[in-house]
Amino acid sequence: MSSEANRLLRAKDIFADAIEQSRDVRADFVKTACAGDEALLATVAALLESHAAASRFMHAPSFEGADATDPRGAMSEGPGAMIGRYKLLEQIGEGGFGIVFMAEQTEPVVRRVALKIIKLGMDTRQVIARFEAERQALAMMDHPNIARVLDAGATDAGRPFFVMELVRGEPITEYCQRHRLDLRERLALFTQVCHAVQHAHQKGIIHRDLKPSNVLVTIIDGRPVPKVIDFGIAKAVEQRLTDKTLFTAHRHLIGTPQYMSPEQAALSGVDVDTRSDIYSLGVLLYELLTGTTPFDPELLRRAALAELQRLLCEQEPEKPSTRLSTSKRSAAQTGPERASEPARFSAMVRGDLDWIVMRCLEKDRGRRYETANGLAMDIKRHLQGEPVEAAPPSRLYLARKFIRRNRGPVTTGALVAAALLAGLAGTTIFAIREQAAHADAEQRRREAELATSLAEQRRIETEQVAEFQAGMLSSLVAPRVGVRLIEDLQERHRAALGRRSPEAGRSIEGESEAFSRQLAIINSTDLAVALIDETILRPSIAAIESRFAEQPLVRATLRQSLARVYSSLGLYEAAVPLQEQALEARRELLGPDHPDSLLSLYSAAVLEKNRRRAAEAEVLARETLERRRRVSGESEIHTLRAMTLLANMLEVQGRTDDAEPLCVAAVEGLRALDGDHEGALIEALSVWGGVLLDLDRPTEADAVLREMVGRSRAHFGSDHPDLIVSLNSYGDFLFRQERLAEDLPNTREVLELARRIWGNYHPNTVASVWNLAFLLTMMGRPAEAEPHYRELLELRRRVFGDDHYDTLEAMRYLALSWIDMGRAEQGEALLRDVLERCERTRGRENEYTITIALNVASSLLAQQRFDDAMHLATEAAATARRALGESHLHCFRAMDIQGRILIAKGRFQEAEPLLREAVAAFVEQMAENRSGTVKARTNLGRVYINLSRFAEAEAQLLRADQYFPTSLGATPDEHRRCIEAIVSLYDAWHATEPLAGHDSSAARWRERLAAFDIPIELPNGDR
Amino acid sequence: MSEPDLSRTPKGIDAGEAGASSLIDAVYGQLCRIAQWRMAEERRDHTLQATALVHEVYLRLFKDGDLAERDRAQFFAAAGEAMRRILIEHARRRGRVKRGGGSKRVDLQLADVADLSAVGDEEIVALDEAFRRLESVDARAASVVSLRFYAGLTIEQTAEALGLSERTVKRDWEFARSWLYSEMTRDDERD
Repeated sequence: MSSEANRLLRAKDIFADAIEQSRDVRADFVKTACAGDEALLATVAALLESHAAASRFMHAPSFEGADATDPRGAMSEGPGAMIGRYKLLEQIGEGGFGIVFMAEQTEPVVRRVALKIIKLGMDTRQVIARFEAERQALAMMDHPNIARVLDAGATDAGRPFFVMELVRGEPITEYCQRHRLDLRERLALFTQVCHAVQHAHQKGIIHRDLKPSNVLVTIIDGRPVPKVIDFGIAKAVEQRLTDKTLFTAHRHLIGTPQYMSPEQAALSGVDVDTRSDIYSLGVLLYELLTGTTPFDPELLRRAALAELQRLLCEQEPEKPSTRLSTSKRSAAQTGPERASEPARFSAMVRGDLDWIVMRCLEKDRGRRYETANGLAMDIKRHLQGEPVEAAPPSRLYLARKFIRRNRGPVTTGALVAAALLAGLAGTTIFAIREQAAHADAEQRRREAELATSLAEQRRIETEQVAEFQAGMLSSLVAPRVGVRLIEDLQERHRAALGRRSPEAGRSIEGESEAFSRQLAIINSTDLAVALIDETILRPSIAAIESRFAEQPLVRATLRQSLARVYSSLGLYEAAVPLQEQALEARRELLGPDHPDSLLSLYSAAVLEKNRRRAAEAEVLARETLERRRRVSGESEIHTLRAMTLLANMLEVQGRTDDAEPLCVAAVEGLRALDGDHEGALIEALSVWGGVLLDLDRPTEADAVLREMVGRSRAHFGSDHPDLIVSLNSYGDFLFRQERLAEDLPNTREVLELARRIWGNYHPNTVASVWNLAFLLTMMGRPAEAEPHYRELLELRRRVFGDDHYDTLEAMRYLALSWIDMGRAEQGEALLRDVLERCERTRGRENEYTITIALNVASSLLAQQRFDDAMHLATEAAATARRALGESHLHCFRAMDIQGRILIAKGRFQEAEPLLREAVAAFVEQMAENRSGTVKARTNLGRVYINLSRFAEAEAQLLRADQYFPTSLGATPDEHRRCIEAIVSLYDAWHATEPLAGHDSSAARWRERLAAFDIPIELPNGDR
Repeated sequence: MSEPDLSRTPKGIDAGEAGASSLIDAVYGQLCRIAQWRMAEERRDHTLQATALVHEVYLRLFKDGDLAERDRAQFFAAAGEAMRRILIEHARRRGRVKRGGGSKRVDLQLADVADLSAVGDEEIVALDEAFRRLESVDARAASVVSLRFYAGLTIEQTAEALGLSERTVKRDWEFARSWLYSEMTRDDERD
């Protein structure tokens, strides 16, 4: 050890002893301890000095120091002061990066200018250096719509300042609103702005901070002229958008980032280019058309950085026309034509202008207009009625957009959870701090009245934030998060193994597999849900309890939001206390008939519905309905929704007769209602359709459900979960009606949408894969079903684990598909795996285990391993009789298999009673058109042919043939073999009774056989 | 967010077959990633306790058994190491600092585990460089810093994890803090 290091360790001991001493004896103590070693003494002294200076170092809460960067630091410059050759006259503005003064220039000419002093304590030399670098380019700008930047320098206090052409005007948006400009006038002004920006771009100048306050309208010769100010300033100031400065920026400087392009917000380090200005122009145009910016400034202002980025980089804003029509009712907006002719204006914006604006607002800058001129040209085309360059997006394009929007959660599912941790709890705490800060301020100022209004405002804001957070959390797909968590862990584990022992490559796979097996025990969905619960929701509950005790109404709102989040995660039990508390508090404080109380009451009913407690849900729904009727009348949206819910609960409890009139009333009421209540109407139609089906009125049900699907498509668009729900419930109807061919396109579409919207691991997606696979099986198309079963198996393995019933069913149906496809050996192997698992986890006498054993026997039969098959079938039959009773279907399934084996062995006499009994039982316990029934009849017919009991054979075979086309699960090939049997029946019959005309029957059936569409896969076994 | 609950020990992997050290590797990587994201998303006025957080996640994951004392210490050492690396990588990635230069006066106001958005990248880099010098002159004090500061453990927990007395940890901690501070401010004078 070096002597220096040695000395340091000695110094450390002395230092540590010293700080345990009281201050007054410390110096003496150190001097003594160092015993004349000057270097040591110096080291200890330095440490002690640092210790005193660093009292808060690595200790203090970080946010206490944050104010140091507050740019609202004292400004010494004010009216009357001289800055260089400029005399400040009056402050004319404050915003952006600094304060703007009107100033008088005294030399070389006397003129009035605008002088902007940058507030931020930034490096003045660098700012000015950057300005100087741009100065030449700025000087080349000469455009009537651009305010020239004349000079830059530093104040005595060292702040950078800029001198610009003085523009006396008002922000373009305010001008348009105050003067009630019509659409054409607005577009004309905006076009001029585009030309100005184009001019600057051609000189290589990017504005970087285009927004209404930087586009002033001034009157020249009686005409309004827009002037773009501040060119070159954003660049010189170089507001770097790290997360730190962004927040500084949008809290204190820029105000809100609503004009900022995604690439500027993303902090991705991508260079800002002219297309960022195009984006900002798009926002400006949006505002000129609608009076609002694409994203709610309040939302952006309150958003955490991640939310802000998500919004700007992922969320598609509403089209201007949509915004106009949806915000029609909200008053006090700065909207253009709203005061006069909103509908006309909305119609004028729809189409071209929508697409023009949206093209500017593209997230991918490569899709925006290339130039500001291009944008101006398109507006011109629109004004002249020519087709615009910006076109409505194609379907593929929309799909890509969707993928991009969802790529985050899909690829980084595990991280979603982490990202969300900054969610509810953080925001709540933030809100609380803000609140506390405000409370202090109020106290000092003792302005009780203001405090009240502020608190009220704060309460509303807090509630809005909570709503927003709850919305984000509700969209979280727990299974996806869970699967990604596990996958990441496996991946990391493997990588770590590789790092640790690169030479032991071969053992890595083994260890990695062992690790995966251990992880497989964990249900990843449960893990994800638990994670979200523990790290986000429960801390939130705790925060709500402790911090909002004084504000019971805010607390109730927050609890209501959390209850909703829990419900969306499927954690209904956890939602119960929150829901109850929210309801109780609102009833007590607001009265039971207050709208908020009624909303909570309705939510409570929905929660009970989700908990499958129909009777409780019914009570709550009924109360909601009664109160709503009294408070808001019969034909009011909430009344009608409560009616729908009540009908639904009655239906679930089998009281369809009571449910029906409610459905009719709800649907009629909703149809008659003004305004957009499609969602509620769709819901009501869905319930009504179900009720009609229960009442055995399928034709009416069909019409109602069709209407529901049609409305869903129109209302939700193709990217909405509720469309899937609608399609799926119509699909259920079709399937229950055994209208399989009609159901197929429907089911395919559901799956496709589910994948897109929810991703692969969502329970609904997994269920949809099953639905499609099973439908194909029921349609007798095993080869098409097979890939879906394979996928299903993989998904279920991941989500449920290996021994779960759903996983085993996926294995079983995959195996059965293989058998039907002629791959019986492969099927057998898989079924044996299932059988082994079942015997281990359920026991041999379990009903499901016997099912599997019978399937294995079938697979053996298909391989013509008759003795093995017989052995297993006989064993299964005995077990079934013993465990399940003589009349259980399994007993007859076993007999069916035994019968088929006996046919193969030519022992028809013995086969006959077995198959006869099986057929009778199948018809009785299942139906004529089940695959088991038609196949057993075919086999029985064959037996009778061989026993020369032709009439009986004919009866069985013709009946089988009749039911094959509508059968569930029989393949076309099996039907073909039934027809072959019919041909051979008439041949044999004719040989015995040549004069009975059976030869012509045989010929007729031969023709049918020839016309029969032969499937590609030829099964080699006889099942 | 609560302190990590040390009474619940991470486990679930036998020290034998799959190996506790591979568990730590696995957790380490995961931790890096989660903490990194967490910090990237963090807002400036909310103190970050990523470790406590990640801790809970993994305690959940490995809750069904006990990890040996030794491995638990390793676990936290890995966590501290990870946090330090994450901080520095994050600071570097943003490209706001070049090594060694440009920083002015160091005025750190760090909390237990740094809230990135409130701390300058220069400070993070400077601290990291000083930390690595500390490792070479007093490895034990550096371990204390790693656990105490980067992994967010309390004095008591740090003592437990390192098998040291609380007093020793306290002394190491105070020394390390002062030394790091003086190193960082001295760096400054060199510029």
